[in-house]
This record gives sequence, C-alpha cells and structure tokens, in this order.
Amino acid sequence: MKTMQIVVIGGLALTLIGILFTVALPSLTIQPPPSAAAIDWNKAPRQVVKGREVYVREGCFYCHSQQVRFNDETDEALTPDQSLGRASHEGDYVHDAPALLGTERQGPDLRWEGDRQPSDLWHYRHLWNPQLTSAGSIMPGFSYLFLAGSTDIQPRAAPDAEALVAYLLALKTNEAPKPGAVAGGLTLDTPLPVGNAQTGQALFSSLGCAACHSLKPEEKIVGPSLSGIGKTALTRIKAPDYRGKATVAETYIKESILDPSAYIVPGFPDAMLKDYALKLNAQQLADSITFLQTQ
Amino acid sequence: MFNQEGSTARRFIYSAVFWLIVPVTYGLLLALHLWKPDLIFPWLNPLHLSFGRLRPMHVNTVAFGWLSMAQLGAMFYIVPRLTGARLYSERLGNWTVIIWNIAILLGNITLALGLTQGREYAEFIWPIDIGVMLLLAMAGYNLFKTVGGRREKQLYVSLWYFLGTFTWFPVIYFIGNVMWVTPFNPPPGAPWGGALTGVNDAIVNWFYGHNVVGLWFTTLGIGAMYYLVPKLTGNPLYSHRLSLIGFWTIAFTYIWTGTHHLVWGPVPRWTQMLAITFSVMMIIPVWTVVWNFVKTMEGKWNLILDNIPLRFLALGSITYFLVCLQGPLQSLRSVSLTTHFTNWVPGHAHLALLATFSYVAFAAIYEFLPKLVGRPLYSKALMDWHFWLVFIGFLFFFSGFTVGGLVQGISWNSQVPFLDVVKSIEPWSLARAMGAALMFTGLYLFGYNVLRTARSVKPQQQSQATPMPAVAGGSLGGAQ
Repeated sequence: MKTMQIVVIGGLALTLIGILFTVALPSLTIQPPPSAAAIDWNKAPRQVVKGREVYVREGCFYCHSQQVRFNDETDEALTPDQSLGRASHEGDYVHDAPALLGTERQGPDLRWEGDRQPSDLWHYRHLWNPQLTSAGSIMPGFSYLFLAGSTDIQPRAAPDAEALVAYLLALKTNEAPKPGAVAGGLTLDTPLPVGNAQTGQALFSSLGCAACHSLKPEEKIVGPSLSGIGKTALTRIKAPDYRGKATVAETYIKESILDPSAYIVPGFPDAMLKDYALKLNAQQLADSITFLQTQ
Repeated sequence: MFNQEGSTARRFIYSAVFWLIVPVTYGLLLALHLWKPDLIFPWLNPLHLSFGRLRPMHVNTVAFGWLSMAQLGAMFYIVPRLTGARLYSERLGNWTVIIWNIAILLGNITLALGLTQGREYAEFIWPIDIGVMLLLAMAGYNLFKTVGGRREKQLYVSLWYFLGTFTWFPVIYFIGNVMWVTPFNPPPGAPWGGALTGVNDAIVNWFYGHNVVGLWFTTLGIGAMYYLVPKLTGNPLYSHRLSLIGFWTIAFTYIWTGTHHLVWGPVPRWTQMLAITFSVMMIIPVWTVVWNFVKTMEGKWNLILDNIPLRFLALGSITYFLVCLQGPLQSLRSVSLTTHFTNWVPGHAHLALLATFSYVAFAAIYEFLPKLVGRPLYSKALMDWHFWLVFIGFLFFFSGFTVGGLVQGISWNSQVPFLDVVKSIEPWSLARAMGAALMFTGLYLFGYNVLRTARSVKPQQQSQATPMPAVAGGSLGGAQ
C-alpha cells in the first residue's frame, strides 16, 4: 500500500505545483487593460456577438489565426507577420471567451480583417465561393450560410452569413493609421520604375484582379471591365463627378489601385480591396499599370 | 456476461477499433480536402458539414474514442496480470465501456451539429465533459481497487504509470476544460461555457491540449510499453531504477510546457520561457524510457523480422524518441518562428499520436486480443499488410505535413504572397493525401482482421483465471 500512496501523493503534488505556476499564476497576474481593439461582448451589437458564435461553430479558427506575433525587443510585428498589421497584445483579447488565437494558417490571419478588407460584399462573395475573390484558395465555400437562389454575381446571405461578416468587419484596431508606417508605403507620388506588361499580366491573375474585373469589353463581374482602360481613363478624369487627382491615364490607373475609393464608376459598388498600397512594391505597381494600359 | 473475466479489456478493444475506422475516414476526407478543396465538401455542404466541423470530429474521436479506449483496454488486460488479482469489477468495467461509447457517439453528433466549446482538444461541450469525468472516476476506481487488492507485492513500473495517470488526469481535464464555467453561467458569446476570458483562456487551453498528450496518452502508452517490451522480447526489463527516474521526471516536467504553443504570441514572455525551459527538460524522461527499452531489446532485434507486434512496438519506441526530440526543438523561439502556424505542427501531433502511441496500441491489441478471445489471430498476412500500408503511408503522410510546413514557414518569412504559398504546397498536400489513403486501407484491414478474430466469440475458460506470477515477478521484474 505504501508505494501506491507515494505514487498518488507524489504525482498529485507535482501536478499541483505545475498548475500553480502555469495556470494559477498567469490567471492572477495577466489582467491587462482593454485596448481600443478589444470588443466588449456585453455591449457589442447583437449581430457581431452572433457572428462570433458562427465563427466558432463553423470552426473558422482551425485554419485562421487571430494573432500577429510580436518581437518583444522591438515591440513590432515579427518579420513573417509584418504584412498582417500591428502586433497583437494581451489587451486586445480581454473580453474574449474562448480566446480565438488559433494555431494554424491554412488561411490568412484574421486579427485585423476589418481594417484589411472592409467591404462586406467582398466577404459575401468570398464566403459563398472563395475562388471568386481568391483564386487558388483551399477554403471551402459555405453555401449553407446563403439563401436559395444565390449566384456567383449575387450571393444572398442568410442571417448567419450576415452575422459572420459583421463579426469579421469588427476585427480592427480602431486606431488612426500612422502615415508612412505601412509596409509597401506606396502613394500617388511614389516615383515608379519602367513597367513590364508581361509580368503585369501574370500579376493580374495572381493578385486576384481577374476575379472582379473582366478584360472583355463591357463584361461586368463585380467591378467594371478594364478593356480599353487606357482610353476610358481619359473620359473618367473629365467626368464632372471625378474628385481624384489624376490628369493622365497612367495616374488614374495608379490611383484606382492604391486608393480605389477615389472614384467609383457609376453603377458599381465600392468593393475593391483597399490594401494594394501595402501589398505591392513599386515594380509590381508599374508592371500592372503598364499591362492595363495595353488593354 | 458482464462478469466474465477479461470482458472489460476485450470490449474496450472492440470499441476502440470501431472508433478507429470511423475517424480515419474523416481524416482521409480532410486530407483530400486540403489537396483539392472541391473534391469532397460540395457534397457534404448540404449536411452543413464543412472542414471546420469535421476536423474536431476527427481529432476528438481518434483521441478519446480510438486511442483512449485502446489504451484502457490494454491497461485492463495488463493490470490483473501484474497484480496477480482479478479485475476488481468486470461489471463496472463493462459499464465504463458502454458509457464511454455513448459519450463518443454523442460527441460526434454534437460536433457535427456545430455544438462546441471552440477550444482545440477541448471541444466537447459541458454535458459530455461531465460524462468524461464520470468515466475517469469509474475506470480509476476499478484500477485503484484492483491494485489495492493485489497479491503481487512489488508494484511494477507499468502500474506506477497507470496509477499516476488516473491521479493527475481528472485534475487536468477539469481545469483544462474550465468545467466550473458551465452553460448555466456562460460568458457572453460562449453559450456552452467551458472557457476563461482573454489570453488566459488560450494559456489554459494549451495547458490542457498539451497535457492530454503528455499526461494521458503518453503515460498510459508508456505503461503499456513497459509491459510489452519485456513480454515480447522475453528479456527482463533492463533497469527498474531508470524506469522510476523516468516516471518522476515526466510527472514533474510535462505539466509546465503547454504555453510553448503560444510562443511569440500575445502572452507574457515569462510564461513562454518557462514552457520552453521545461520542454527542453523533457529530454530526460524520454531518454531514460527509450534507453531502457533499447537495453531491454538487446540481442532480440532480429525478432522484429517475424514478430509484427514487436515490430510495431520497436518502431513506436523509435518514433517516440524522434517526436520527443522534435518537440523540444520546435518549442525554441528561433525554430517556432518558422514552424508555427504551418503544417509542420499537425505533422508533429500525428507523429506522437499515430506513429508512436497508435503503433503501441496495435502491438497491444495484436498481442492481447488472441489471449482474450482464446483463439489465434484471424490472419497474419493481413497483419503484415496492415504494418506495411501504415508504415509506408505514414512516411508519405508525414513528409507531406513536414516539408509542406517548412515551405509555408520559409515562404512567409520571405514575404511571399499568401495565395502563392497555398499553391506552392499542393504537391505536399498530395503526398499527405496519398499517405492518408494508404493508411486508411491498412487500418480497414486491421479492423477486418479484428472483426474476424472476434466473430462468434465463445471464449474458452482461460488460463488467466490463475494469477500470473511468471509475468509479474518473473521475467518482467528484471534488475531492480
């Protein structure tokens, strides 16, 4: 009997010591103040709370992390995470139960998805059929979150999809962006190198432009057709409601890529991704513009 | 029928095999999905089944259906033989099997319906957690009563591991599943409870996620290995003292390591450093165990040519060594920088639960089942096929995870666009799916072999009615 007691008491004692330091001590000491990004689930809109439940129910967190890893010496995002936005801190999660930090990135990190992709239309199309917005994605389509009669052009969201998108759009820093601090850092004034139309053509599909813009005349996917954009640009610039800064076709295309909301062609939604200024480098931007001008 | 000697172990083994072939089917679907997403889920979507629901069904069923039940079957076979006493209550044991099956079935149904606590490895909702606690109490009571009433004076090391496991695991399960937060007092947004708030929830989640492997599967598995290695080789255990050093060091070090799943994440640095330090210390218990097995195997390695259970066991010992070298390595910040969030990590999990402890479970079932049903195994050829299909399949499968994971990690480090990385790992996802298909075939053959061995069971009155001092005190006792 004595050996049994040693195993039980010894085993339990070692377990409790471990629990004291790895569970109890963190729980008692990690009590950060909430950051601007933290969502208080008692006060958040009902849609957003429900959206988070859908996110958990459908297991989104198995493939999408929600943490931007940080280098605690520089307090900045780690190199592989730099394109994801600002580093995550304890204060960003204070009200979250369960915490959805995630462990895999079969899909991209979603911590700042609301900042990165604020268009709800983009999210509906992506949830309905990820290939429409992100060709080559391995995400399954969630057709069962949409109403009967949905099509690739017009997915009709059921309440669960609406809630889920409301939640995704709420995942943002709520901080004013620091000028010049963004990766890529492209602006309308950035001088561009000489572009290569062939590389631009490859970028047109790999960046996913083709998902929304046709190169056939008059064909409407989500955005306007880019056929003949070099010429159409000139008429757009002269349109009475044009508020952008471009005076030549090249600058118009540049502006449309870096700041899609500068001018919305009548009859189209403001649905284009807003992060190309972060994602592209100057050469890629030049290649894309050169390619589009040949269309 | 419920009082029959050995019936608990036998029914645990049958249930385990059933709960193996179900989730490996899920697993194959998941592997195919990650290779060609449009192959599977458009067909399952009308059932509201998607990758994110099938994944926890796969993980929880292999873990708590297959592996746990196989290990308990082995434990309930081994314990009477090492104590020289009958199992305290076969009736209680049989009820444990029945309720366990109900819990796993309900677990599968609830997860398919999307009812989840939303925490990896701890998805089962609160009512099922209650069932698991009850099961741990039932199995533990049976174990402690049997060992308490033993006729064999010496407590062989396997029993240390079993007793230890049933001492600490209920505590770990209760805390890890945050069971005091219930559906009656849920935090907002988590209707099923079972979660803390903030990053503390992630810390507790990984305290649990890691310890369910380390202080449940590992300690039950090693307990079985300490019985099987001397038994299958016919050599006495090399060192009793070394085995006890291994026991106390694993009990001391494992519990601290969970937060290494959150390295570089939004948790205080000291919690990460503590976890990494203890992860590296894990090398001590692992090497004592492996060294003990290697020395016990001495002069008998040629037996693996003919003895397939021993082959599974020897291979399991080698992969145990490898997985426990890989674990401390990938907990280091410099390595984690590249491997975290990639396919490397689930590859590591499969190396531990499939290529190590499932191999041990195969060895145990092939060794114990014929003795429990009183007749030889149905087919040795099928057993051989099972071995080779799983062995070769796993090589493809593991390379797919590991190399694919390295490609992901290295590409992200050099800021390659995300979708380009997704496309670039497709060949590795194919390798993984191929390996999964081979293993799937091998495991179905295993299931068929067990079924044929079990059919029209009319167990003879077995010789095990007499205690087995030859095992307990004799060859297993070894150097002390």
